[in-house]
Amino acid sequence: MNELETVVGLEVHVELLTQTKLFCGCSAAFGAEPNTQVCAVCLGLPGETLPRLNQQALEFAIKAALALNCSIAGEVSFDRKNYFYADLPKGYQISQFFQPIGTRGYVEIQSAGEIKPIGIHQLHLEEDTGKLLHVGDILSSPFSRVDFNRAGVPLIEIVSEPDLRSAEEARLFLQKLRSILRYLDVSDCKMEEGSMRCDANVSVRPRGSSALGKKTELKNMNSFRSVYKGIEYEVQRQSRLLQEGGEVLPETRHWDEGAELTRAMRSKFLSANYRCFPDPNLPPLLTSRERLNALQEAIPELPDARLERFVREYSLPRYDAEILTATRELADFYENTLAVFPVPKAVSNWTMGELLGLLNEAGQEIGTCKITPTDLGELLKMVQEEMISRNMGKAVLEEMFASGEKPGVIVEKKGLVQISDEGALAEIIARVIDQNPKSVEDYRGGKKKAVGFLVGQVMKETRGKANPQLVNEMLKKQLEV
Amino acid sequence: MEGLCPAGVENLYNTRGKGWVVLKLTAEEIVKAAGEGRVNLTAAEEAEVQHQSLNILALLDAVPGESLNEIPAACYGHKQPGSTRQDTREPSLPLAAVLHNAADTDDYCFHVPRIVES
Amino acid sequence: MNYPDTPAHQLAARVQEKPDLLDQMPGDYAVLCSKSQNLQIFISFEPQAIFQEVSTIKQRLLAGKSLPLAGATVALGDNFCTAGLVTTCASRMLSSYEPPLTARAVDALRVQGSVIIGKANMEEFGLGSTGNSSHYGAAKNPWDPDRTAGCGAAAAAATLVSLALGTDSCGEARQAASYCGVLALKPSYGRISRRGVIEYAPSLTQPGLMARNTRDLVLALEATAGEDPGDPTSLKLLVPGYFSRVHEGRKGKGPLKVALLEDWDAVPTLETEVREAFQAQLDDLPKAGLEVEAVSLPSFQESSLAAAVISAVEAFSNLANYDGVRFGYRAEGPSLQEMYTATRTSGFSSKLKQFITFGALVSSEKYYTSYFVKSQKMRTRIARELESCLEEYDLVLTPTVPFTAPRLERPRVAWQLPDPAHFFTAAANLSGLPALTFPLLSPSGLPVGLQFIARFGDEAALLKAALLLEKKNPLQFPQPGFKDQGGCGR
Repeated sequence: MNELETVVGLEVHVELLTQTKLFCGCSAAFGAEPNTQVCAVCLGLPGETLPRLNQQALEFAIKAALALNCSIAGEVSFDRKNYFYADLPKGYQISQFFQPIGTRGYVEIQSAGEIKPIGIHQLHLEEDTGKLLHVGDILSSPFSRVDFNRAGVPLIEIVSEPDLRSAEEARLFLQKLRSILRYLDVSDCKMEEGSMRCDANVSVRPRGSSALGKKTELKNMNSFRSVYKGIEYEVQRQSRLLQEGGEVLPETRHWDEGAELTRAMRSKFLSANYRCFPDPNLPPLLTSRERLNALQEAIPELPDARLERFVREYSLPRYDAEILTATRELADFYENTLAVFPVPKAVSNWTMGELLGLLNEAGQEIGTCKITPTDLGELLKMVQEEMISRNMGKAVLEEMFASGEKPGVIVEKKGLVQISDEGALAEIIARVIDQNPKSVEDYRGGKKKAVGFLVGQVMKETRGKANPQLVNEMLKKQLEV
Repeated sequence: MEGLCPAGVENLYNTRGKGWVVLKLTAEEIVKAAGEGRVNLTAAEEAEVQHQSLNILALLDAVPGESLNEIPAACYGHKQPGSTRQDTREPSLPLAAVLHNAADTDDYCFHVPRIVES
Repeated sequence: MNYPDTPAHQLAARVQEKPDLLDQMPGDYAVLCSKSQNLQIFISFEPQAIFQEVSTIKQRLLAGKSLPLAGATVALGDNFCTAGLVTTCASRMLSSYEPPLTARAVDALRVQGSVIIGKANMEEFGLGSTGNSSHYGAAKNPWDPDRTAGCGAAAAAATLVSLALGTDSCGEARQAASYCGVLALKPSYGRISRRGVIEYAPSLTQPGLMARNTRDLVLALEATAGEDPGDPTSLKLLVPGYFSRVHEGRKGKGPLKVALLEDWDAVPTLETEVREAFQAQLDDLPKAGLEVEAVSLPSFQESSLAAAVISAVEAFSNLANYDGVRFGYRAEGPSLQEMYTATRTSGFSSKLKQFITFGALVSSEKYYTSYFVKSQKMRTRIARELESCLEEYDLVLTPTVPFTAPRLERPRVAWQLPDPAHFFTAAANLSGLPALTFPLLSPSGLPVGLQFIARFGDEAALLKAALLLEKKNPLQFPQPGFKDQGGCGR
């Protein structure tokens, strides 16, 4: 048997960051008590199923489609996708079946050092369903509880072409998608909270073949890691099947996070037979050229463009630029710090090395960080002007991270200002030389390293406040007299 | 063939002078359609739906399709483009009103029987 | 004074002057309705609620408010939601449903001072007018209790109320009015808000207004028409002042030009009673000031076909929310999907189940294009044909229904595809054009309807024509023997 090639396409659902639901004025916020954010419309009450389209959701969807290089439909129309399920209050979901807002787009990922475009088949706007709370797991639950808070929350569904060739590419694609959507500020894309969800169509085929193999649809992957592991597992499973002369069944499989394997969902309800037709309650809207242009102009610089600019404009290593542009917040933070302290590499080092370290340790994101770009800039200035040492700087940064106080305040409070006054230092240096004749002898005898010990003694005497470089120079001068 | 009524008449319809046209509408299709609408029909109801459906579908077949080729389908009663609303909060229903008409609930949620059929 | 007999516009003027006149209304109604029980006209009738409505109106009048419909009595089809009052759609499915909100059209009538007398019996979910699908037994025709009545119209015809509201999806409100001998208006699509109106076919439905005289119909339309931001298909057109429109002269415009549907009398289901009454009225129209010419509308006869398919597909989807979870009747089942089927099988009438099945069938992949899309294309052609005819004429004229009110006990199929009652009425629903039925009497004394269809947004032309006919045809109403019979309510 030939070597096998992996073929993956993703279907990604992303909740939009609107105040209200797609078709009614109920709050779209996450985490409320069950069924406290529902009204007659999103509950599908008799006579009340009249949807009113949320302008903001529509604009978010169009912006996302533009950012993913899609063609935009000339009119916006909605269809009913009819099926019976407990999380669907009306017996149909309002979605875009016949005319998705965006089609034929692409996203570029960097795979094995090369830029690779991944096709976007379509992007469409639809309403989310409610949530089922099972007693135990879905297969054995004797009854389920239904919460409709999420029913009607605006979603965009992004369907990729089957252009992904590995689990790693799928992960990279998903990360790029998240990064772009966060740059646009249209979604927070939190997989753990379900504001970003991903299903994968996975198949394998002999390398070189252009036909698609039988695919399985993979569900229930709730993190980037599980998307990777789920696809990886499924590829192994399918490859083994084919190599053993078996056949892949086209089916839906659930990723079991605990057991780290996929299981077939045999139950009847998944074999859906949808009927779709235009929703008579939602006459199409026209998308005017002017409106599209305005939305296009409102799209901020996207991660790829920003990365290139960082490399070009700030002469940063590509590695630095990638990390700094991973989220819009971090890139903004970086550039705002530069405005105060315009030394790109130094700011990059401090941001990536120190600040991200602190954030990771605390499990925080830059958005909730107490340190402002101005404060970081001020701190770096102090270090550069040798008011404080680099090590002191790190200590001050930690303090800033914990308390949110300004660096100047912390330095003053702790009396950290560096002693760079030669007069003040000369006295201490003289004393240290007197007290350590052995080291002085060693140095003069050729053991130049001995000066380090003496510097250390001076630092000890000054409780770390002496400017180490200056001490070094002054000591050498003294010793060589 | 005009006027002659061959065997299996339920599936054969005379369309205005064009002879007998075979419609492939089976009893199984009726049962499937009823199931998709989540209703069970009695045998008599099934036969009635089949009879009525065959009748109207034959009448529709008699409307020449070519004459409609250039005509767009009308999916809406509304004659103006759709509109949007601002993304501003409006009050939701009180929880008591939400649950008031439901057959089976707890303090917060609706209850449904087991999802997966045993 | 006899409330129900007095036209709403006259009543309003008198009550406005003397609010105390309202005091006797609840008592009168308790008697009236108890006498009409055998007709099964109302599903819900609560004298206590009437009492409360009346005292609210009285307070507003005493506070100096001017209410154009002060004291006007209204019967609502039981598919108009009323907060706090059970709204059943004449279905077991909603037999105990208490809506949290009230339909906008109902609120609008109350604002103008009208009193909701009760919820009228109707066909289940407003589907059709054959008279045998109400969970509470068929409403009976006040002219002949052996015949069907359709929704709401019976209450107006029996002079139990001045105004009635029912839905009109394929012509049901106009058909009911035709059977019962009252006027009915289906406005242009989107003219009256559908919020809180339980319907089976959203692209076809408008609330229908029913009354015994044109003036009252005008008042009801003025009260209920208008943009509603809560209805996405609500018309943004300015609502004209119908009263002044209807009464202004046609300076320099000459008589109303009316296109009579050619071959109206070639319809196979046309009854002689209807043919004769309609023909007699045709001969009188010039005297009433209408200029009539026969016009060929070849697609018009396809309208009940297209309407049957489109409304069935929409019903399949629009009634999918009746699943026993959030509201309504529920039958138990061992699993979710089995519960759905059990609930819908015993919650819906036989007719509705069959109709939903037909809707599922014609929207299935196999038939979608050849029947559903074809019907939608026929819809476009029917609308275009009517609109182009109405560029030349002010009105299109047809009978309303090819027959008089069907007999309830007549052994006939429970339902028919296409529904022969929709033959003349469905075109106005498909095209969204406004239409009105005017009552005539057949030679043997049974009500028959004459229908006008007008340009989009031009309800005024319909009302004007009705006013002209009304002058020549003093309206008659039955004084049937129902008053000797039993009580009222569910």
